Amino acid sequence: MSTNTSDGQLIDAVIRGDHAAYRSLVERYQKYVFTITYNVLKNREEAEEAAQDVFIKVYRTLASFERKSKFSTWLYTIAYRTALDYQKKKKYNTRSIDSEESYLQIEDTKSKNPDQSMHQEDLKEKLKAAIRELKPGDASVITLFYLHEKSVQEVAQIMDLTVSNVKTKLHRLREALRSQLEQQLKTEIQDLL
Amino acid sequence: MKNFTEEQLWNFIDGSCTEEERQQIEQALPENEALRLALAERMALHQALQKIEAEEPSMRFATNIMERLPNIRFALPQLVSPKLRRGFLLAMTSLSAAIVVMVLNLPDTSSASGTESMPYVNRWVEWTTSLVNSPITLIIGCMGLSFLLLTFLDGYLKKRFVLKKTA
Repeated sequence: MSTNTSDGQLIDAVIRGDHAAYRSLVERYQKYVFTITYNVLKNREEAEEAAQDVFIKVYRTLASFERKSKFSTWLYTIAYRTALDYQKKKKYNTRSIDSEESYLQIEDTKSKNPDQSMHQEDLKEKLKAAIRELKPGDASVITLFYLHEKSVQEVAQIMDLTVSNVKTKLHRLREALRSQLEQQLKTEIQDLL
Repeated sequence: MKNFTEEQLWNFIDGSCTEEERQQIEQALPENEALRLALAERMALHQALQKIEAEEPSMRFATNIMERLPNIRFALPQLVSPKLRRGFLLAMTSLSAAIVVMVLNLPDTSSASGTESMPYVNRWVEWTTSLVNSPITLIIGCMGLSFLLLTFLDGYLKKRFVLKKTA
């Protein structure tokens, strides 16, 4: 199945009985669905199990997908809610963005190695680590907005929140991340200048 | 950073600020060092967030899913929703109960017609005869037939389109 095939064409093929088309859909979205469940569950094995359940659920109900929204929005909504269901069962201990001290204490590499400039990859890794330490809902807002390139409206739809709530969360979260990574960001700016 | 809030700066970066706000920020940038730094810092975070990559599941992820699929059948959409079906059945049951209660409470005219041995049957015959000529009967009949037709179509289409899985 070509990578240029649209989601709609793949869905039609699956409904007609083309098994391989569903594999293409899974391969297209597996990383994103897994990221959503991982951000909520914070455990790779649990996240993978939940992500597999998501694709099974989606397969079962694919024929009822009304195509009023994008397939990805529908898929991520199922992924987020499935992950929350798993989380409720397991009662994971997670931290909230509301308390500054809740953040992972990110190592300040600049203070340890003053001569070594901060590489972009390091910043990315630290960001990923910081996002993983966020409360599940908060981490999802950030990843849906940036990684999945969803609009504020779509994030609100997926997470069953209001648009203004998502905007406020996004603003608070980015400010919290910025203050957490301030040193690294300053280095990044200096590298660019 | 006196004039612009953090939210305004993020809105500027996201492109969701008003045209007026955008112009104000752009005009202030050349002469406001603090604003330039604040914006650059947020822009760097914004760009770093855009570059974050998705987490990779295990190599067998897709294969595991595909191995679980053969036993699954599509839950095809129903023409008649279960809620509507339940509501209709409830309404029909209530209507039938109401009719029975009503007929049981009809005045007994059996003595006048000379069929004293079967008073209830007599009432039913009288009531049914009058109901046949009523427009309500026609409406209820049409609704019932439509419902039955939709339910039949629902079942037929489901059977027709459910995929025969090959293991």
